[in-house]
Parts: sequence; structure tokens; C-alpha cells
Amino acid sequence: MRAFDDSFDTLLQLQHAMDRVMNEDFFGFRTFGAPNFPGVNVFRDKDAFYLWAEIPGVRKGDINLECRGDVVRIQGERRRDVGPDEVSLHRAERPFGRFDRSLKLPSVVNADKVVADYQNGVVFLALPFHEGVKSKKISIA
Amino acid sequence: MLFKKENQPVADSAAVAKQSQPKVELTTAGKTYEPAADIYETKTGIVLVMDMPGVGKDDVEVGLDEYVLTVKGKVNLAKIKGLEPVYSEHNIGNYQRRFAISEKIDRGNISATVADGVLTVTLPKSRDLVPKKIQIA
Repeated sequence: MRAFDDSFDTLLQLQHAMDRVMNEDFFGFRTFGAPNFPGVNVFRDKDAFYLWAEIPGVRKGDINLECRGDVVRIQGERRRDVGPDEVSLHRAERPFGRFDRSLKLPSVVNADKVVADYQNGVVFLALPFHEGVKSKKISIA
Repeated sequence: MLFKKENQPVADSAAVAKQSQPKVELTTAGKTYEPAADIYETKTGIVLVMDMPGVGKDDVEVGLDEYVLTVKGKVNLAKIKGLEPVYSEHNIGNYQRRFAISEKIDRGNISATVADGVLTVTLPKSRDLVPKKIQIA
């Protein structure tokens, strides 16, 4: 077969390649991990940050959480859990595999007082602010 | 797809009952999303697995209307009530999705379980369709 046999084919391939580049993390899966899983939302009140990460269907032991300074790391693996009698997969929309995300928070948190729980497929972290960065109200003398 | 899609009928003849969807619009507070689903077939039935993070056992509703299976999940937002959002990658909302069920499904024996935000619906094949071994006399 000649190269550039079908110019439309080449164009399509090029387009697919572009799409891949745009949709993926630039350095690929290995360096930064899957950048979008799990999805994370961060909230705050006057004492702490709260992190809501959706990781449904993961064993508790497969999730590793780390906190250092102002960085929280969520790492683990989501395994496909199907019975031994699976005959054929008709549809696979749910993402699986390893995930590893590090999030930088707006300020330093007190790593010793972080509380985490995993309920209904959501990792919920309460990250209290470090004493040194808590804001104080100053009254005018 | 890693992102949740907003609830809109997907152009998909196999799973979504586009034609048979009743023409009734919903009114619910908040956004509704279509949960990601895996579907696999075993010898005895079809298994539907859906991601519904934030949904507990008591907040799931599985309904069957003729040949349309409707799955609804309500997210429990008690933990984040009153908090100020700082950073948001996805919207948190309720879930809903519809599936067309074949007439080869034993509709009386559909069962469902929820664990860790994953809903599993088991649709057994009707008895005539389960493979049988025939003994040689």
C-alpha cells in the first residue's frame, strides 16, 4: 500500500491525534496520573477546608490519603468488580484503574487533626486550618 | 467518560428507551445527572452497575413501568450544608437514567443492591432462556 493512499484517512488520523492530545494530560498517564479522577470539590467554613471526592465502589483499604503542609494527596486503585460468571460486557462507561491526585489548598492545614470518612462512595475530608494561619479579628482600640 | 453527563437522552438504541419514554417532564429541585453505567450479561441474567456517589441505600428508587426501567438516586448533601464552596470540578446532583428492558427478562424478579455509592440491578432472564443441559436417556 502506498503512503497517503487516502488523503481523507490521513486527515482523520491527524484529527484523532489532535483530539487525543487535547483530551489527555500533556505528559501522558504515567507522569501525572489520570487528571480527572476522582472529581474533587472543596468547601470551607471558618475553621477548616472540606474535601468531597467521588470514588464509588472502592474498597476502603484501596484508598490512601496523605496530607502535608497545604497539599492533600488522594491515591488508590479502583478495581473492576464483576462476578466470575460474567459472560459478556455490553457496556463499560465506568472508569477503572489507578488514580493519584495531589491538590494544593489555599493555606496550610493541621495534618494531625484531619478527619476522613468514606460513605456512599464519597471520600469526605475535614482539614482544619493550621493554628498559625487562622485569621484573628482585630478590634480598634 | 470521566465526567458526569447531564441528563439527556443518549442516541443509543440498545439501552435507552427513547421512543418509549413517557412524554412527561420532571420538576425537581437541583440538577439531575445520568450516572455512568456498566452492563454485562451472565448465563442467568443481565447485570446493570451504576455509579451514584453520595447516594445511600434509602435514597435509591428503582421503578419498572411496562418495559422501561427507571433508576433514581438522591444525593445526601447534609455534610456540605452551609459550607462555602472554594473549588469545584463537578456539580453534585441527583441521578436518573432510563433503560429499555427486553421482554426476555423475567420482570417479576428484578433485584437491586446499593453499596459504596454503586447501584447494582440484576435482571434475570426468563426461565425459558437460561441454558439447559439435556440429559441423554
